[in-house]
Order: sequence, then C-alpha cells, then structure tokens
Amino acid sequence: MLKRVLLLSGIGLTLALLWFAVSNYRAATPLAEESLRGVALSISAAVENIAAHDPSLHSLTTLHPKDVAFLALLDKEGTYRFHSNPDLVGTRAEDDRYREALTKGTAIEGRVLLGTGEKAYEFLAPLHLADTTLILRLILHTYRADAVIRRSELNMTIILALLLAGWVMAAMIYRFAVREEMHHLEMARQESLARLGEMGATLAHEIRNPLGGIKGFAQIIGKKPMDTRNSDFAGLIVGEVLRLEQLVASLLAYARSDRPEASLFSLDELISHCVSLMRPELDRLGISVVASCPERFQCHGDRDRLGQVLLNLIQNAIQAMPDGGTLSIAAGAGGKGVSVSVSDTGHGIGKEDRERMFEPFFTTRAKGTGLGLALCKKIVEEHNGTIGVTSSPGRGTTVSVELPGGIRK
Amino acid sequence: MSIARFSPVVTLAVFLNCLLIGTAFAGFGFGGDDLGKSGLDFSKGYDVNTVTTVSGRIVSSPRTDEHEQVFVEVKADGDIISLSLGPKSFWDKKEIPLHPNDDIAAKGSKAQGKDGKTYLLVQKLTNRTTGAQMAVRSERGVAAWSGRNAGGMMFNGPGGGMRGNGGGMMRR
Repeated sequence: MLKRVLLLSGIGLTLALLWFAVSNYRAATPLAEESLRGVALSISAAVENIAAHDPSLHSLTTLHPKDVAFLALLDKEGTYRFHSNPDLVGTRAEDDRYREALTKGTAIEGRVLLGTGEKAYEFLAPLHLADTTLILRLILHTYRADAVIRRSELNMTIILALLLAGWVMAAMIYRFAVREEMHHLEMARQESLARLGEMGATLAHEIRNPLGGIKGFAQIIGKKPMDTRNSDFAGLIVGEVLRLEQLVASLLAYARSDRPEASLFSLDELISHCVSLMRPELDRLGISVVASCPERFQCHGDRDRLGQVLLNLIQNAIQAMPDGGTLSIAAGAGGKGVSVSVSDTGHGIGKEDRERMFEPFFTTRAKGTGLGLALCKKIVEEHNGTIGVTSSPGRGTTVSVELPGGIRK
Repeated sequence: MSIARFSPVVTLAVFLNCLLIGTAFAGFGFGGDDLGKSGLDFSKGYDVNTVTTVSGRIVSSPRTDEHEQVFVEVKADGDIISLSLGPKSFWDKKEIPLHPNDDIAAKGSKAQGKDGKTYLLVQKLTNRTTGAQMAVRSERGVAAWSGRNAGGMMFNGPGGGMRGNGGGMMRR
C-alpha cells in the first residue's frame, strides 16, 4: 500500500512538473512575440513622427535602433520610398505582402526567413501621412526577444532531465530495496532451517535409540505373546515404531549439512530403479507408468540423494492416485541442463496448498511427515537446481526439476 | 508490487521524458538544420535588404570556423561584428593581408546569428591601412567561389534576390 502511494505520488509530482514545464514553454513564444510587437510599435511611432515632419524621409537615415535588421517604406505601387539600404530606394518590392497591410488597414506581423538564413520578425503597417499612405516594413532581429523562449527551453530540459534522473534513481533504489528484502528473507529462511536442522538432529538422536528398544521388545512380544490379543497389539506397536523411524530418518536427512557427492550416473537407470522399487504399490493401485528418457543419458550429481528426490516424487504421485491412473516420468536435456518431470493424473493440488507444499512439516495427509517435498527442494537446491510444480485440481500434477550442466551422452 | 509490475511504469516514464527532451532540444538548433551554431548560411546566403557598410578596426586575425568559413572580427561603433570572408579554400587563394588593428571598411549583408553574434556576409572588403581591396560576392550576393559570374563580380544594381539567383526576398 505504501509503495503504491509513493508511486502515485511520484507520478503526480512528475505530471505536475511536466505540466509546469510545458505550460511555461508554451507561454514563452507569445511573450517573445509581444515583446517584438512592442518594439515594432515604438519604432513605427518614431518613423511616423519623422515621416510626418520630413516628407523627403532623409531623416530616417539617422534612425538606427539596435534590433532592426532593416527598415523600409513602400508606396501603394510597391516602390521603396525609403530603405535602410539606400541602393534599394526607388526599386520595387519583390513580394506583395505589403498589399495585405494596405488592404486590411492594420498591422500584420509574423516570422520570416531572410536570405542570410536568419529567422527574423516582420512587421508591416500602414503609415497615414498628410498626403499619402505608406507601408512600413520593419524587420527585427529576434535574439534578445527570444531569450525568454531559450530560457523556457533550458528550464524544460533541466526539469525533464531531473525527472528522468529522479525516476532512474527511484527505480535503482527500489530494485536495491527489493534485493535487500529478498536477501534478508533468504537469510532468515536459512537461519530457521539451520535451527530446524539442529533441533531435528537432536530429537532424532534422542528418539531413535529408545525406538530401537521399543521395536525390539514389541517384536519379541509379537513372536511369543502371553495372550493372543497381545500379538496384534505388538504388531501395531511395531508398525507405529517403523513410521516414527521413517520420520526420524527424514528429519536426519533434512538436517544433513554435508555437500552432495557429485558423480556421473545414468539417469535412465536411476528412473528404472526407482520405478522398480515402487512397482508393487503401482500394480496394487492399478497405476500405469510411462517413462521416457534417452538411453545412457547421464547426469552429474549425488546419485543417492537425487534418487531420493525421484522416489519421493513418485511416492507423492502414487498417493495422489488412490484409484489408479497414469504416472509419467520424462527426463532429458532441457532448461539449465537436465530436466526431469514427474506427472500424475490424480486429484491435483489447490493454489493455497501449492504455495506451501515445499515448506517443512506442511502436509495434507493424516499420516504424512511434511518433509518429503521439503527434502526434495533442499536436495535440488544443493545441486544448484530448481524445482517447481504445476497442477490443475481434478486433472493432475506435474513436478519439474531442472539441474544445471553435467549432461554426457 | 514486484519489479515486473513496476518496470513498465518506469519504461513509460523514461520514454515520455526522452520524447519531451527531444522536443525541447529541437529548438536549440542542433537538430533541424546543418547551418552550424549561428544558423546562418555563409555559403550561399545573402540578403540585399540588410546590406550595410561597416567601418572599424580588426580585433583578431582571420580564423576558420563553422563549415570551414573564414571570419575576422571587427570592432565598429562599440559592437563586435564577425565578417564572413568565404570558405578557407577561397580565402587561401585570394588572401589580402589582414592584421589586428588594421582599419577596414566592409560592405555586405548584415545578420544576427542564433548565437546572438552579429555577422556581415561580406560583399566587398577594403583594408584602409594597406589599401588592399577584395570582392567576395557580387552586389546581388552571388558568391565568388560558387562558379557563377565567372570573370568577375556583377555590379548591375540592386533588386536581386538572395540565395544565389534569388526567388522571393523572404519567406514565412
């Protein structure tokens, strides 16, 4: 929520600054035109005054305002009666724009391009003298008046550059903060896993030895019961002890901190081995197996631990199909190196469960330990690989494992 | 909010910024034409309307500046005016001695550049100190290095256009 508020504030501030910069820029041109018009009107008044007092117009040669590019007076026929270039006096104007001012009876103005390439301001206005009407053609340099435009352009550029820099910096800070947050989360997760591992190892050690004794005695009682009913009870005790031993073994496996012993092994053989281990269960539930893996496809990693991953995934798939179905195992080159996927046609997994299914001790089964998939994830990550799941409730689940490099054929 | 959701917003902001910066810079004169920082056409440009005569002292030796044009700065009536003397290749052939503090008179088309400087596209140059004279353009503004009017400058009076053989005086 705070991020959204900050982002919206940033966008709002950006839009406000953009509006300010653009409106300032758009207002600059009319300001420059206004300034030029004011200068032109002042000079026009001065010219009119001189022309009124000196019909020969010679006095105009003394008029040299700073921003004037040239100044001329035309008669109704378009002949220059006065021009700041004396050579042009008596010649005709090359264009007839002056007629527009004559027809309208008012001043016209605009920007023109001079022969030198200079962009200048033109002001055409009728001058009503005592005996005739002349047209004033005044061309002004625009550099000084356009200073306001240049300043607005500079201001806009600075504002836009600052905005750009601000957004880039904000993006970088945001990215840095996200990374930092993820780093902290990962650190916290690693720390909790380490604590969990220590606790698991201690518990396993303390429980395993007594369990061994309980199981032994229960087996003896089972073989030579004092009462016939005791044989069944002893069988139940042994069964529960075996389950607890499996939990302890899982805990110990999860708590292991030693690095995997990597070697090259044949992936297709490992898949066949795991399937053969689970064959009785598969046959009992009527599950057909479709396995595809290139022959002698080799993978680099700890064979035992990756075998445990595959076995866990197959077990999970079997448990998802109590009424039979199809178990598909596909392996080959793909992703970062080796890709293995285990699919079932079972009941699928809901979205909420999918998000938590790799957490330790999370299980949806009454007798599950919740360590199977957590252990798979730990082992895959120890191999610098990734594990992911896709599932459609009612249609099945696919767990995909990708391991880097080490493909040999 | 993930980076994936944030990135399009940043990209859009950067794109809009770049777009507007481009618009802002377009007015600074380094995007629209190839006339250099002054925005003037020293090669073919001339306007008979702005022809005037400048007299003053040279303040610096001739130098080659934008588009290989030769310029010399003159102080006249308190203002510094840059005289455009044509391309370097032309000036190297026709060079007349110009030294700082030489008293000169130059007739030509006056213009103000986008850099705020005043330029004179010289038609005729006289070094009063040495007495040397040189025609750089015809009275109609046709450049001596353009190849037209071979055999000398034209002095057939005013009324010509600009930019070579004319056309309109100005255009909006």
